[in-house]
Amino acid sequence: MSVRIGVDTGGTFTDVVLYDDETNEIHTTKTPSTPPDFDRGVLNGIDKILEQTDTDPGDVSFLSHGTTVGTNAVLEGEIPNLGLITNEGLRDVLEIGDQTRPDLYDLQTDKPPELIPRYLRREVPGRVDSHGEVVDELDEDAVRTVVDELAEEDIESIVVSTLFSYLNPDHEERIGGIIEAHEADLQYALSSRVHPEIREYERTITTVLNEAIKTTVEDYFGRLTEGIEQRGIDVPLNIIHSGGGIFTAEQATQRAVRTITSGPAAGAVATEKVSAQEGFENAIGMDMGGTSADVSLIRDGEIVRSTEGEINDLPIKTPMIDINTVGAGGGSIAWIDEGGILHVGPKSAGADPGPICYGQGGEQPTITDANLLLGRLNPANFLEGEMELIVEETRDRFAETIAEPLDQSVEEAALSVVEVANASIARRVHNVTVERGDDPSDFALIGFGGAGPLQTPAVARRMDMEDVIIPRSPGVFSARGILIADVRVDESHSYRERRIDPAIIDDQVGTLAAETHDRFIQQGFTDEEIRIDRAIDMRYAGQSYELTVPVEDDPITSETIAAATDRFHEMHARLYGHAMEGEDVEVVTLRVTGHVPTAPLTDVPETTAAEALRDVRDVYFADHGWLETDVYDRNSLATGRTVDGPAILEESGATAIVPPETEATVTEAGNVHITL
Amino acid sequence: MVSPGKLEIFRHSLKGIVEEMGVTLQRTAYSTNIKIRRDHTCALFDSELRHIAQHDIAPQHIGSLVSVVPRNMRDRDDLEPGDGILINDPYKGAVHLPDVMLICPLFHDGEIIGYAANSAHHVDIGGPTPGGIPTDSTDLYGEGVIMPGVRAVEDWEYDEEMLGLITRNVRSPEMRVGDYRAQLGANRIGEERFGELYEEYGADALTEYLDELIDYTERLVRSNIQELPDGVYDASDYMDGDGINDEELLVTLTIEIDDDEMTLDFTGTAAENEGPLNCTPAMAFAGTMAVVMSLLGGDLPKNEGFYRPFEIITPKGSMVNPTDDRPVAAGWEIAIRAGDLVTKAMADVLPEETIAATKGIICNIAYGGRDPRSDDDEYVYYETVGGGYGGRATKDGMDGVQAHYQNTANSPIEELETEIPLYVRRYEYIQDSEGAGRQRGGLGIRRDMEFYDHRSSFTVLSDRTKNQPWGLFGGHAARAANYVINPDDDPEVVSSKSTTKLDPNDVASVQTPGGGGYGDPLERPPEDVLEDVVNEKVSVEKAESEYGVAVDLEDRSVDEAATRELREEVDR
Repeated sequence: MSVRIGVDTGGTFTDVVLYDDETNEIHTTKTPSTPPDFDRGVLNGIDKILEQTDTDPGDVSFLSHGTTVGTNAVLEGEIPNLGLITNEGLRDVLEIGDQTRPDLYDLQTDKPPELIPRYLRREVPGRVDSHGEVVDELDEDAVRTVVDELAEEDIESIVVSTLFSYLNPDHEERIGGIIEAHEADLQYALSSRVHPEIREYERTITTVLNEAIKTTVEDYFGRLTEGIEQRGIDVPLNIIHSGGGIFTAEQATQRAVRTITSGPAAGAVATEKVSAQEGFENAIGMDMGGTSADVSLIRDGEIVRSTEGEINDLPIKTPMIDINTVGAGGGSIAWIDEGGILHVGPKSAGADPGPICYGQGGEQPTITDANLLLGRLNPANFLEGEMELIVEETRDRFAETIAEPLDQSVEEAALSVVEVANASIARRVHNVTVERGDDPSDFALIGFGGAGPLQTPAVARRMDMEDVIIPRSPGVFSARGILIADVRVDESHSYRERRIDPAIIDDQVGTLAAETHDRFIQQGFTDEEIRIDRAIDMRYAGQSYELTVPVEDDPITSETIAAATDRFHEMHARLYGHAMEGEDVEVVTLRVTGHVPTAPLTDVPETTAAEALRDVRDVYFADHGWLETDVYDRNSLATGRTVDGPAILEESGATAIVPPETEATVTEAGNVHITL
Repeated sequence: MVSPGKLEIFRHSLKGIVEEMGVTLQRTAYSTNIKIRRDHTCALFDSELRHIAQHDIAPQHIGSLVSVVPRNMRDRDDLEPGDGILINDPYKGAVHLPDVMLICPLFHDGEIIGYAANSAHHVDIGGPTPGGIPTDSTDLYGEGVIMPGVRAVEDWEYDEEMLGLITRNVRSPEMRVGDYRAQLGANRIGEERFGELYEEYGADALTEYLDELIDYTERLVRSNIQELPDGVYDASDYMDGDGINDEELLVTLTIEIDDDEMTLDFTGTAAENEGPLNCTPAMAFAGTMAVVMSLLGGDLPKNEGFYRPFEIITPKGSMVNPTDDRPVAAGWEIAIRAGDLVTKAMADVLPEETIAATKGIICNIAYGGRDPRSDDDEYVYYETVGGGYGGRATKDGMDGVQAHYQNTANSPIEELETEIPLYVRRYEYIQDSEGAGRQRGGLGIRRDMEFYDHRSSFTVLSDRTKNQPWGLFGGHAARAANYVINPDDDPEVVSSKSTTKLDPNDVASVQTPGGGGYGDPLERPPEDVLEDVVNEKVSVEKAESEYGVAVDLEDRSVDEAATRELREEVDR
């Protein structure tokens, strides 16, 4: 027997998926997350699923995990003490940032935290210019002095970041050598190794964040690995990274900054597979959990990616799936401002105390409470009755805090709450489609996460989208993404020449590709499994927005560059509405991506023999009011079965809604397709 | 009556339109100043010329759009679908010449249903010096191309001859053309989206929602003003000089609160100047309202309703309402100081919300020359430098940031050095530049640039070298600005409005002011003073003389007995 396990830790719940390679069956479960020691929740989840499926820990052949532990550490400012060595006169670059204030109309706003205090940021003479040539020699005596000084401080590691090190890393390497030779045995990190690209502030902060998160995740992965071994599970722990691939826990530690959107990236991977399965080239993933909704995009069958993100107002430069987050989740709190306008979020009741209806002491009305009052959630079925809902109390609190101040009935007020949340998600969908030259009606909307399937049809309707897909086990869909993600590494560095020279590009990309390939071989993968994709970032000379253009030819020749340039003009025209074909185009960054495919899941949808129609109850809909609505057990609906709206589809961990005047069909693959 | 939930959804839709306009403008523009520094903004007006929505990134531009659009569109009866009006005329409601606005009427079935408008800071607008900020012109004609409100766009296409006339008068015309086209693209998106919203809601409902939204903002702003005690509050300060005459110039602001209304009156401010230190009423409006908005409702939807309870008085012939085509290039320096004056005047009324003086300057820096690395190609660059933020009731002022309506980013050193033949030798906080206080002010920034192997021209159009940013409630004033050539070997201090010819390898040093302190520095917790001393933000000497704290730097500790003694002594 052999099983694969994927675990996705969210702020509220930890989701677990187990796939049995022999029976091709999928099993899922959910346990509460256990902040701040998230590893307990992960191990609880593993125990729970092993017990439920009566699996021997020795039969686990693959274990993969999505985590936000590193992200939380940064958000909560719990990072270790670090030192910095940089150029003379420039130690404040890290703290000045881009000199803007985070909030324009707030006199009490604050800059993001400085991460390394000024007295631990040291300067040394030595300067490289914009061609990578040395202007002032590195003063090694000065370096020795600052290293001696920093060795006296209570720090865990030293970050080294000097100007133009992405062009010429010699000064950084020599500083690293001096730290290494120092008797204090200090750790260090060079910006030219972590993020060898232009813009000193972004490169430095990315290196600092990587080094800071490293310590946190190292401990976390250590505890987790120990717990896994204790259970007799004898496979290495894989981690999903922001780019939607998996890498080893060791790589996740060394490149810790790449775990920053680990969980949401898994949702995007799963979205890509389901959209392919259902024949949609273009799809939008809407992953709505307890605290927020993450929107991702599939265009022409490919996940839309980015090379930068943000955390706590700090920029991070790392390859990642383009995930756009809105502060609207099931637990988001509805409130009325002093002028009488209704808002939802960004504050969330989280898992504790949670919505009012969880009966754990929550007193503030949430989206989940609104859905309960609209008859959309079944109090008896909710979370398989693991949490007792307090319907009456919810109604009273809702009436008092929302409906009465708005002078509306409880139902109207609940509907307003749901609609306000939908409008903010729809606006984000608009941001990532219309504003980038795409028409949302060309996309299918794929709704998942605990709260996604309830809201998806309404969001789709707001954006004139016609197809909604609710995948199987939507509540644990991201964990499924973790199971199917390919092994993937992204490598890049700045192009180090002024003029475009195909031979040099070919040589440099070739080197990156060969290094990536070798590393895979060392990990035990075979030539046949490894695929290396190559790309270059191009921009109009003098501009600052680059676009990543794939290049397929090997070797890269002048024809390759000409074709890439054409492609660049096309992409620019689509995104920005115009291309400037007469303008010079420059190459800024060289990229390679290595993949090793993970075996697909070949589970077939299974339907329980029970009668699918479970109940009939009144559900409140916009423009209709209360309607008598059929309630189905989602897992008893056979493939090919069609259900007319209004209907509710219930299953463990999620409830989907089929609005009036629409119909839902269970597809061959077992997903629900709602046609609006 | 519109339901509150529906109104919130409507607000999302409206905001979505102006944000999409803003993103379009930013992404399609050519110049760094718009693409990276985001020196632009977009807004929508309804058919009654009421301001209904704005993209919240650069309030200075909003101030100008709010004055220009109604004033110049009201009496035009010749507008056709697809028209676009270009305007930058300070004497028709606009600001300084580099901020160029494009206004497009939006039609539906032959009727005007609204206006899409945007404003963007162009890096060059002609005139004698590169960068659009001449320091010594004595009339508007010496500052560049004046556009009094001309139909430059028909049927959503620029009149190429008109555009050719404009761009023939500016430097780097290709870049500029790209920026003008980006401005048109933004309004085009506004037309499309606002048209969709109009169809979705219908004319009547749209008006009802807009009335409701504007009333909502007005209601809240009025109730916030009402909570303040009625009375007259004033503040004043002096500017350095106008670029021609080296004489200090008074700016004075009197705020009168009467029930739910507020008057901001500049009466008493110095007369208009011969040099470019003149500020149009639109600039004064933008400078004061940005701070008023922060104090009275930073989260509210910004629209016509916000402005209704306010009257702004700018006496004709004063330097906040110049006449006779006086030059205005440095006007934003007065406007940002007016923002500081709002916080000062309101200090006793809103002591918890207000802040001490910020850096109080825009700090316009422009430089140009011929690049020795590439066949002596001509280059021009424009940037602004952050400084200290004022101390606050419970928080220190931020170190090294932009202030009030100004929030433009810096240029990354590696990008700058790649593009321009210079080395940034220092980009750092200035020790002891903060105003001491229980909550100290923020530190100013020093930016030293070495222009290697060529002669260059270095322009500062700024202020604040003569008067320091003030502290509040016993907080001390901060270090003033300093502009110096070759600061380390043979320092030559230059004026705050000057153009200097630099020799090869000269270093130009821009040293911006700190922010004022809040509250008595003797009440600052000694451990906070210690932290600043350890971080070399405050010197051991200043810790002693102004904070009354004796720090043992070796030991990184506070000598408590000595501190007690010092504090008693300084207090006396």
